[in-house]
Amino acid sequence: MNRTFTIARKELQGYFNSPVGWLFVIVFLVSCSVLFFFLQSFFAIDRADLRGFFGIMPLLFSILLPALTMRLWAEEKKQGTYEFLMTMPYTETQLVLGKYLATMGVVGFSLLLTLPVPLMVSLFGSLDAGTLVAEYFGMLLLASASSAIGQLISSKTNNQINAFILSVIVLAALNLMGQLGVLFDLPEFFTTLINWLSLNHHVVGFSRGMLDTRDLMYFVILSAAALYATAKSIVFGRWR
Amino acid sequence: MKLDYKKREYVITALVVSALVLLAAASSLFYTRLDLTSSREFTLSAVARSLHEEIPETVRITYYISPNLAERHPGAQSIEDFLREFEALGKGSIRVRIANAEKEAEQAESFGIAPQQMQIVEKNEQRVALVYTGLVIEYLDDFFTIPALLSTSTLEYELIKAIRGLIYDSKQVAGLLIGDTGMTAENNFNILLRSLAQAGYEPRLIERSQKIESDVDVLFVLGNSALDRYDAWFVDDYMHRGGRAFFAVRGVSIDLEQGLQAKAVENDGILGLLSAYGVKISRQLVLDETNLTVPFQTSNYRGGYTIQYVRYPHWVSVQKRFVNAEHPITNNFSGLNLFWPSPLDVDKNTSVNFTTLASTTPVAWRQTSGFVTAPPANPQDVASYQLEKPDTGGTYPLAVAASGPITSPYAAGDLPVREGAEPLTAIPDVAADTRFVVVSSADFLTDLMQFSQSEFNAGFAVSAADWLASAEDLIAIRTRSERDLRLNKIADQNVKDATIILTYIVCIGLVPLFLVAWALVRAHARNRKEQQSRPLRGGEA
Repeated sequence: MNRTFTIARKELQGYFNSPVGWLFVIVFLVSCSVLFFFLQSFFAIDRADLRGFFGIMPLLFSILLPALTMRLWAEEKKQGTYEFLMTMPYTETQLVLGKYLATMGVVGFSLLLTLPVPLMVSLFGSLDAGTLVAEYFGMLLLASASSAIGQLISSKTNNQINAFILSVIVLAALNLMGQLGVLFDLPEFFTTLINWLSLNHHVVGFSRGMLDTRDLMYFVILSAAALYATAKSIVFGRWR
Repeated sequence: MKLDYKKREYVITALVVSALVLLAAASSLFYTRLDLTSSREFTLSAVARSLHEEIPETVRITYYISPNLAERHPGAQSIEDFLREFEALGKGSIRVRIANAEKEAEQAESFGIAPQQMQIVEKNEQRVALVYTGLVIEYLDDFFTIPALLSTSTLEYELIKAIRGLIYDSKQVAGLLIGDTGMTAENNFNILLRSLAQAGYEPRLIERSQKIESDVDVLFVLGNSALDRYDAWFVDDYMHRGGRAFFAVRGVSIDLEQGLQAKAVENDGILGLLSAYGVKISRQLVLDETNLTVPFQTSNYRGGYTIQYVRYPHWVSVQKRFVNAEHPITNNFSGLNLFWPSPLDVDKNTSVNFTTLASTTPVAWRQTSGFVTAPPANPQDVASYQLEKPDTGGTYPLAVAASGPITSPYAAGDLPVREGAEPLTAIPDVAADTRFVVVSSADFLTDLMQFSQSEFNAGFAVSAADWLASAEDLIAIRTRSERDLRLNKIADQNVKDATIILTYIVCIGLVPLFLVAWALVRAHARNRKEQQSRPLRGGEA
């Protein structure tokens, strides 16, 4: 486990030694606040409810998280450090988990810095603390699945830009696919399947203050599957 | 060797994928939910948990839902989950069935579930579809229908109330006696009627000067300016037969058609009756610093119209800290806006037990005469409202709940006479033990609440009806989803505006700037460290 944390620390430093990490956090914070206060006209609506605020995050994660994950493997391959990394005394699992933890560290830091929004809003009206906790927890789970998927895509490409574009497309599709059932007349089985696969569909419960084990397991399974697939793609890649 | 390793990896991968698929399937079948809301909004209450003890025969609940709605609306899934949980707690006494309303449309409609219009996209074409989402509760040969529902927010309350109604074979009736001239239930009390019906009450209009039947569980006296002593006798007669009433009454009438002209109420019918019960409503107005901003249309000097937003102290926004948190009606307060309220006093020397439900802030004041109710030409000019403020400032009760024995004002035999109408008889001088609620604003339950986004006023009335009908245990269930969501913690508009700007500065300015500063300091420190260590590395960058 120590080795995993060593990788995580190294990756985290990598994020904040370059503008990537800082840009991610700043753009995320400014976008969330501007969209929430101005586009959604929070004060004009006059409701002490942060569903709108957290409702923006899935789309922002789809666009911004790939900027963090694109470099995880694609950059190693481009800079030629990939082979060097493979010779180091780390297992694939330690490498994948370490990189994943580093990404989650940046996301966690960003979410922590959004706390002034509920704190300031609570000066105007009574927010439900339990719902707020559920919403933050839901966002962490969503970020977990998104960064695991982003890392998987990064491991399958040699180019950061390709990794970024592919990740945005996949995450946006996973977020918006729940709308397919609304827009098109699909068979019931497909609608159920699409809803189950949709990231957004599983965030709704958290935004209402409910922690449903179905949603929790979805994010856990998706994150685990994507991380496992990343580790295996590295293993299988070695054989080529 | 490598081949064996490869084979093992493929087998392990196949096993892990299978395990994940199985786990996904199992998690969909076996699940639990943790309600993190502070009011446990989605957790079934103690009443629901013990309801099975009250059910002698099986209750059958059928949820008729159109498949195309179930697939498109997340509310349908929540309702199904809720009903399954409700069924599990019923310990066999409650059976739930989810029915395809398209296949069983005829049956659904026979129960009174009407199709609702909904815009959907089908076969890539947008169209308006008729969908069903209704619920039928059957018990023995009787049934109760909730004709349309899309959320679980009040479903528990509605279900328990309906099941109890069926088991005990009692349908609760809410009588509505409209006491102001020119007002009708259809034109002025739509929201209240809808809220009462949704809460399981059967609204029934009561004619003036007509006997109020004893099967009326709760009587709403809505306004009083047109009710004289003769009309009030019928209310007193009802109360002395054990009836329970909610009085929304005024001391001053406001003419909405005539530029908000104010006039003290002349008829003494209901005000006199309440006075005998121990509640005195003055023919004055109460104004408060915590009030609503109201858009008024005024004509300008060019003959056109201008909309002005005026802070209107005659529309009092009751603050949570000035409501009684102990009383069942108000212990889960979601808001109350009172329009043109009057001062209310209670006589503590009577045998009735009074509890103040809501009051003004300590900086309220009165207008005792020469009422100024019209909006000022200049929205900032509020001095005309405040002429009597220095002499009358203080806290004023606005709503009270009462229980105990009441005395009739007609017991002494001073009976009103109306020409051509049946003579009245004296009410026996026997104190009746009853409950009643008085709110010193007659307009707060009219559809004006829609204009001022005060629909929670109807929620207050339904809670009061439940308390009057001795269904206190249900009030907490219904009101837990009615949180006060208004951004009203800061009463002063100037302070609020300044705090909004501060919020923007902190969230959009200070936090990102702090990060930029941190990034620059960190980069600078790294550069310096790198420069210092360069000689040690032989001058390499």
